[in-house]
Amino acid sequence: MNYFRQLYYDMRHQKVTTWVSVSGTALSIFLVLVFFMVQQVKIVGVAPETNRERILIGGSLDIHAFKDGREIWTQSGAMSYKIARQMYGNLDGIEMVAYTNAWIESYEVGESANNSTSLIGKITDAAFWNMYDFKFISGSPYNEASCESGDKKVVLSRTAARKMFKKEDVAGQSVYVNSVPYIVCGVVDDVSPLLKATYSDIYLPLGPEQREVNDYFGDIMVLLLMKPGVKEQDIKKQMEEMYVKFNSSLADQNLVAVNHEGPHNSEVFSNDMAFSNRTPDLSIAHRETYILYCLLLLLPAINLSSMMRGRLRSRVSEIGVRRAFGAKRSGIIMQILGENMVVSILGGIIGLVVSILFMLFLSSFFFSYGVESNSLEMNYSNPTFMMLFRWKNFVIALCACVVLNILSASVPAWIASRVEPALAISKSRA
Amino acid sequence: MKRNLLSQMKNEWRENIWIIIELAVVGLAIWALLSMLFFMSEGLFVPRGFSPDNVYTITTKYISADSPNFVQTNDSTSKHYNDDFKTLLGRLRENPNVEAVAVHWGNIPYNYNYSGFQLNVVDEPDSVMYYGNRRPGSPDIVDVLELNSLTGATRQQLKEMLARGEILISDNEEYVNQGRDPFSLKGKTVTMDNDSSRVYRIGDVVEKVRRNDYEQSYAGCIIFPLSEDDRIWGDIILRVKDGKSSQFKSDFKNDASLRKLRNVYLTDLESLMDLREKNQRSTEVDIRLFWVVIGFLLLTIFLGLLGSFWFRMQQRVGEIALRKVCGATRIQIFRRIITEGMVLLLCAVVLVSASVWPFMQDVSDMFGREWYVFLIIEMIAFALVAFGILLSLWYPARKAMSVEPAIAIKDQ
Repeated sequence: MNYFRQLYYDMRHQKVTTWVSVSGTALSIFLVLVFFMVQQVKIVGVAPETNRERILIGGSLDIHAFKDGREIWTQSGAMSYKIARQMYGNLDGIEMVAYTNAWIESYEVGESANNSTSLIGKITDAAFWNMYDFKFISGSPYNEASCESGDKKVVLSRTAARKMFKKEDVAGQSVYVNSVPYIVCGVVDDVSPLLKATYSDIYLPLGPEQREVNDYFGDIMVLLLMKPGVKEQDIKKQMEEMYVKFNSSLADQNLVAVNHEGPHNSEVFSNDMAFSNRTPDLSIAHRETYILYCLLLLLPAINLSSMMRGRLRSRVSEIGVRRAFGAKRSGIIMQILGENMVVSILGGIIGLVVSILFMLFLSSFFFSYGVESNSLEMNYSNPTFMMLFRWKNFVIALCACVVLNILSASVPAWIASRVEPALAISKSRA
Repeated sequence: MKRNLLSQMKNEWRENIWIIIELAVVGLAIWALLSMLFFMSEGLFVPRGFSPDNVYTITTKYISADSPNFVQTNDSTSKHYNDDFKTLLGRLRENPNVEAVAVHWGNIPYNYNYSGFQLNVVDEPDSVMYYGNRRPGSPDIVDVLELNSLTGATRQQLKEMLARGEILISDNEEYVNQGRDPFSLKGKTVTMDNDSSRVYRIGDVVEKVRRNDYEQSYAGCIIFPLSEDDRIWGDIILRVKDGKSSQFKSDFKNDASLRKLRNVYLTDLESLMDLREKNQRSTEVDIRLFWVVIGFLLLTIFLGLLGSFWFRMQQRVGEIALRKVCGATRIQIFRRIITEGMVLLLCAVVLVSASVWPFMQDVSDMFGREWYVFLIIEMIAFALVAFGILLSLWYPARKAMSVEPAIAIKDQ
């Protein structure tokens, strides 16, 4: 208890250094957490993408044509439904496969054909609703039979329903999509635009017109839910074998399909690195992030360390007296580390609170979450509270405090503990 | 005095070495970040090749036969769609607020589309290929985007070339690097993608229409003609008269005849400036983030030096008092503290330069920039660091200036 009293006294009497230490620690923790949370938001499992860590995304194709050994053209893009089924439909270790359109499109949607607004739409099959845990406010999703028969059914988001009908319980009502009448079969809770695989205003069934495209290329994206315990690499290995088979079927046309190590995980997909004609490489991004973390912790640690040394220099006589009365070196080191930890925790709490507030309200001005849309407001969407309020973030904040504390206080504490009692006391008298 | 300062700094080498390392690391990081910012932003100083102000895009949509809103026509083919589309184009052109209206196929500025095509001169099989981004547009695209000829042709002449089915190409660094002059292609007949059925004459060379303000592509741009005499289809891009944007938006919203004719309707009126903001968002977000990190680094220096020098000043109160007693003025005390910070910075500059410059040739080759560009950026980076040091030392130096010798010495 005395230690804390002494620390409190010390902090009150060294206002400038206390302010500098706490704000330096808070700034460092704030930035470490912000960069960490920005990465986490892209992979964290929140409703409806609760199984995000088990979901892989595929569906792009890169074909090269050759004539007399020379490449004459290349084409890359999303696959057709037929090829997507052929390539991804029968993989081992997959619990569920869903097909959606590869990119979001805008649709003219309204209560009547003459009074419509532009909304973002996603085309999905029935398995999509089983793969993700959407919360239905009204009605239910369309089923496989509806997709097969091309039923004109549609699922609306809560906001879309409110925009058109001024209420949410609208299952069974009719709605016009691009002037074609549809029946609203369900209304789901809004999805954050940061969840790219599931976000939409309206969801339409993947009907026969998309399924019957008889070409390599189309507009289909494949979502694969791996069984628990199955590794991403196992699926990628199967895909390599699938590409060998596929290429043998293309050989007579002098075509070669290039495997870009698909399907990709949420991190690759959310970072907009699931290219159709390039193999994504996250290692550079990871390396940059680690360098950044080192900088963010090391630089404030150097500052805090030199301030700590200065602070301890003024306490030489006190440490000398403690040593003279039998205090062990390890005890002195632990005391100094403990005192510094209090400052680190204080700065850490401020850093954590400010980082969450920053992420909730301002982060989209400084970070790109890979959201692409027709509306500017959506491009500036921030993460939701549920995406940020994760135990991992608290653990990282605590770890950052401990690392910062060890980096900044261990050397000064070690130097202080080596003080010769007699010398220290005589110096202070002089 | 100066020697005395250096001796004093030498005596405190343990603390100073950490400050020098910190200044060196921060200076190096700011140097790297400023270099990246400079390379990312270089495109802003090059002409865009078009003018985005007062330009709007409109999406064309068609009502399918299974819609209850489908208007039955006598035409069993889809020709009525084209006829109605052309009528809507005409109505837009007649609007008093509109300056020019053109049809495009999506590949307009600030759009993600890239349609890479190669041109080969007919009858010159060994000619070097001209590679560029194909931008299809009807002749009025020249007025809408305000394209500029590099050979002195007027916009009217450029429009006439497109109307005749000729293509316009841009300057092309890639082509120049292969030892060819794009201006020599003017008037030549070329095939597109080695397809002998697609033969075009090159009408003129225009300023490159870039994809966005930051793009630094070395390939060219090919303005490809869309004839309105044919069964034209596509989306619309138009230029409104200066200061008439709000009137046109109001007309488009309120006048249904501008938006719909039988089974064709026009929707999603959007300004090119909004499209620009969306398209360039990720680059601008990166730039903003770089500045934030630079700000953090400077703040780190500020806090670090403020804390360190605050302690030093407290420990040196007696020394400062003695100096004052011996006749040192307040400004001399202030200057001495600032000089101490600047000497530390000088040591950091020497440390960074000695470590980095041996590899500068490789860095220069990697980024394709001359070494002096990096030197200038290094100077700017350390000037920023110097600014941070000045700010952080100002408060401790002011405190030192106001030390009262009698009180300080008595306390000691």
